[in-house]
Amino acid sequence: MFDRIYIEEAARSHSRTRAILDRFPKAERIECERYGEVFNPKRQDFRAQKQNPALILAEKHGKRVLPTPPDYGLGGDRHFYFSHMLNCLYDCRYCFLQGMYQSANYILFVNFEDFIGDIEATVAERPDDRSVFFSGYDCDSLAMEGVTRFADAFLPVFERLPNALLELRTKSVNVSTLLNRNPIPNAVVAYSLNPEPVANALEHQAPSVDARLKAMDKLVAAGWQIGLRFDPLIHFENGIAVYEGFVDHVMNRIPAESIHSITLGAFRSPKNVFKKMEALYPKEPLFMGNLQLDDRGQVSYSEPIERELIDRVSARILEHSDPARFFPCQ
Amino acid sequence: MIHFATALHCEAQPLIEYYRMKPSGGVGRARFFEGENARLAVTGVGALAAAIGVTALAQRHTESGALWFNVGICGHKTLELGEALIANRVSSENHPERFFPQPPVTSVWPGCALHSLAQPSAEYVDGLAFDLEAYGFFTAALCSTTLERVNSVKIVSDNAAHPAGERLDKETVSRWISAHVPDIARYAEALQSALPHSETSKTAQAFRTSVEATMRFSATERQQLLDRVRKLDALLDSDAFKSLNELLETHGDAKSLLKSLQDRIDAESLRKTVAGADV
Ligand code: SF4
Repeated sequence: MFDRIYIEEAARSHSRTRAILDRFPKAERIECERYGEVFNPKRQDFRAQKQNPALILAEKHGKRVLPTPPDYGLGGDRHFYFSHMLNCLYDCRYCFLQGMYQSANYILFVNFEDFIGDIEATVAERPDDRSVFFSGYDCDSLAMEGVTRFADAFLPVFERLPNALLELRTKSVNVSTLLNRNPIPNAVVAYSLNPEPVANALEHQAPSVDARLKAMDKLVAAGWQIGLRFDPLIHFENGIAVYEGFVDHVMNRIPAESIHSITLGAFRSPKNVFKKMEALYPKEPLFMGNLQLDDRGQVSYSEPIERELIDRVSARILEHSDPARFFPCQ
Repeated sequence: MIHFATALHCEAQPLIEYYRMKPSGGVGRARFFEGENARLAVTGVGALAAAIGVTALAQRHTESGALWFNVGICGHKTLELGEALIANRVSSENHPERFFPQPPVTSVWPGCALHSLAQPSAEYVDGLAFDLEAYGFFTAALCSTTLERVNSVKIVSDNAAHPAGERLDKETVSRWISAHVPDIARYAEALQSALPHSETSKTAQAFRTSVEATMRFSATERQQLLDRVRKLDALLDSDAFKSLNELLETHGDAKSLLKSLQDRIDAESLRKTVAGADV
């Protein structure tokens, strides 16, 4: 899976580092002082690296649990995110990660115990609040479970923190960690979903929509709460009708009582991130037309296009769902 | 295109022959050679000479997308004489920054950390190769390209059993390097097909030239024209692109032409977003 594994000095003797290295005996091991030496240099080509990313094992210092931007929430009292990993196994053309980082290499922060300590401390600050923790902000939460054992390590922690909610944001069908244990009521397995033509064109390397739906069926049967994330909505010819049919298809399939929450949002990106994505893929139609720079410095669809997309797809979702579970425009 | 840099002519000779390169001048101590698919600089010994030679070669040929290879000899404690390695980390005794090459494909050689010294040394360290040029080569090559396109392939010429300082003849060096040239060529081909490259078509270039000859553009408008032509070049097949020439007859000024081009981009990208993705 990896030809090269970079090992940061601080992470060298960590038990998780040793365990991962044992699982990939053939990978070339390259030592570095700090992960930034490998990950941050400017003269890197994200697109070229995406063809054969290396794994970087490092420790995360400084702030590990951060508040989400104000419009990013699921109805909790407080919302946070944390990133045990940077970059993703998949290669969605709309993904902001490709415009965020210089490198497509995966960083895994092996010091899970420090993340866990910070999550526990954050909950302990206001134990009566309902605190939501998003885990798939800079990666897919489950796609690399076979390497990271992230869910395996964090679900027991949230089991002890009933007032906290963990969102596992994913497109992965690699759900055996979840199926092999009892579900917990305060974890939601949130699937990013787009209709098949969009997934086929733009969600490279990700499991098919059908495979995701099958994984969701299994999780539902096992008692897990599901999140539906219709995000990002993409503007394409006859797209609204396709989205409406897709919403019907998904929501008729997943029982309402298993749906924890539904979110949606249209494609948008900070200007500097967009510029980098566009430079990486100069022939990508997604980055070419019907877009504008809005007054918040975001590149987004022009107002009437975005409004119609959001309104029509929201209306269709609300035909199936209790409004209390619906969080549009995240 | 592949750009090679070697310190010595005897290191270069097998590459010059394989790629059928001919002398093409020089700058200072650096001597250049050029063939259809490759160029080479014989830079002279040491990091500074390597940096100067590579910079001069890069300035002569500014096209982006070239691969860069430093090929030469090195010392390694345990590898046999004549064995090859590829640098996976390049450091220098004089600079704190280190380089970590990021090849998108794997090579046949073992990866090894490479440390560039100012002088040859017979003190070997486990797991580390020593040379004199790679750091200077990387420093200069990275001014014109990215870490995925820069490589240092080294052939072991001294080890603990045969330390640096023992007499080394040019023929032996050429023979050692020559044995690895087919692998270098295969690796370079694999890299070339793995690395992204995008070019504007001749039709699009011709369209832009004739538009610029017909109308006056401000600097901003010129940039917009470049950007829109690039997008339409990706969105339209060549017949559809040629039909854009009709716009020159119906539009008298830059502003209205640019608007029509953008309208066409909006319409085409709407159609192609789920049908013509750039993978
Ligand atoms: S699955 Fe999510 S994180 Fe991964 S590439 Fe796609 S959008 Fe990015």
